[in-house]
Amino acid sequence: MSEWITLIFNGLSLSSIILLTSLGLAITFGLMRVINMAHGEFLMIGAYMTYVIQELFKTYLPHSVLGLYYPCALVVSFGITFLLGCALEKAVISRLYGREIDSLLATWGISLIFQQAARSIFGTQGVNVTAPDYLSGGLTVGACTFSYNRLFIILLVLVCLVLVWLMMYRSNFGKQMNAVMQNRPMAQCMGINSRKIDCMTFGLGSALAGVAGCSLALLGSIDSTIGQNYIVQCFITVVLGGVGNLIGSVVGSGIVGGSTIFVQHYTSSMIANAVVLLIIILFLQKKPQGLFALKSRQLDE
Amino acid sequence: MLNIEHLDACYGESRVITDLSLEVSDKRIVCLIGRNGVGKSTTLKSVMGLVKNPTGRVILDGEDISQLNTYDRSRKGIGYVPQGREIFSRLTVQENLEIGLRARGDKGSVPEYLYDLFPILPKFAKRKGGDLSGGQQQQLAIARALVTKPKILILDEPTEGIQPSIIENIGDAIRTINRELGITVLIVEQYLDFVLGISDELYVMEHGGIVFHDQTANIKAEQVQRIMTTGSTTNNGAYKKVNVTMK
Repeated sequence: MSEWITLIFNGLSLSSIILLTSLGLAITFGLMRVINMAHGEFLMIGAYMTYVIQELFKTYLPHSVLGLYYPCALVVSFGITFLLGCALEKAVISRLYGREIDSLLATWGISLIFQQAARSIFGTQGVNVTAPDYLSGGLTVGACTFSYNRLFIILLVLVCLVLVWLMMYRSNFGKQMNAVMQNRPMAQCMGINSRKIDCMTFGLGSALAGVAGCSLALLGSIDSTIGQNYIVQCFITVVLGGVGNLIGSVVGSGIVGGSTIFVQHYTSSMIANAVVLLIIILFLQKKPQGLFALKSRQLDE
Repeated sequence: MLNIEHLDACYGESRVITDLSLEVSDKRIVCLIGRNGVGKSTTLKSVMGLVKNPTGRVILDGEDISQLNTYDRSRKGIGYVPQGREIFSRLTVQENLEIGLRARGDKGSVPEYLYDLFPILPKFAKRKGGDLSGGQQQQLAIARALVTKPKILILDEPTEGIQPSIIENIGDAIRTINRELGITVLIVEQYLDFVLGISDELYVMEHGGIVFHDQTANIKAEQVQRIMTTGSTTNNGAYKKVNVTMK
């Protein structure tokens, strides 16, 4: 019994990380239709930012406040990746709207630049972040132990999910963002500054990847390829859930994360990834629009 | 109110509009009519800044807006109802109506008279825009353009694909908008009877330019019909081409 509970907890944990990374992708790919191959590198930047903030705290601040480095790193990771995302949108993506293949190639090139920059700055060996005291250890219930850092990540994902939902469907910015993503020329005709909305939206999607990177830093070593390990799963999640649908991303991440952990338990991680990918490819053959396709009377949907 | 001066517009290599000039005077309903593909919609898109690199000038209330972005033109007071409505299908009717207000930082609500003008809108306020019928979407598109109290409302084929009873309602609404709210209207249409029943002035377009212009009261339907059918402004000398003169 405890084996199953641990399996479900691990599945939930992996799903939450995939979901956190996919939330950003659900915005940049799902809404903006930009195939951003550098999305994983924003995750990497978020993770490295956590390491940098930890080192700065260790070097310049008293040991008593060391535990505060993590909330500080969350804010800095969000801010830096948001600004980098905005800069990337202004410099490159804004010139490539409607040109999917070009944006795919351009962002792939940018991802290589980011990876090389990380190798040049931090070296080829991975670096490690030490979880603050309040996130070390675990909660023991019967024969099962739930690590605090994984519980924290699940909580963080829930908070991010609620905030993104509120932003997308309840805020004025979210409504303008939806209008621009649905019909850019018409949104402009309504007085919406679509360039500003595009830039902010892409920045926000990148910032969510940065937060995901910050949370991933708690779980293992950080190196220049950390983003690459998740990017494929995240694209699969968004496509499986139904492009442009937030609930779809939640369910998609649950399916991808849960089934990966389940298959991995009986085989290996390599085989698990291959099996899950195969199942999803077969599923998409039957339902190419994903689990939650948007339905409307409009023919263009 | 709105002047288009010597407008030229191209799509790639093909020239769509050549040296087009027209004037829409304050508080008038002006219609631009013509066959398919003569450049009517492109003219309106050029006014809104949706056509790449047109030449010529678009002047609104004495101010040259030719170099402004589309969203700035909208904020200057142009309400646009495009061909095919272009409703934000995943936003609700209420959100479609409020989007223009919020884009300007206006926290106010949708003016009540719009609900009187289009009683269908409050009834379907929570329904997604994409789930409305064509006629309902057209009413929403007009109301959405009016929410921000524009100086001029421009409509691109508002009767396209709409059943006759709704066309009548739309015609009544446009008259009310013009007469009671004092909003100037520029309409692009192909439906001649609708145009003759609603407009104060009529321009006829052919081959990317204006070939005929007069007060609607002076125009006979056959006269315009002939121009639209044959592309010619003369009928054995019976009709003379009326040169466009700027007022």
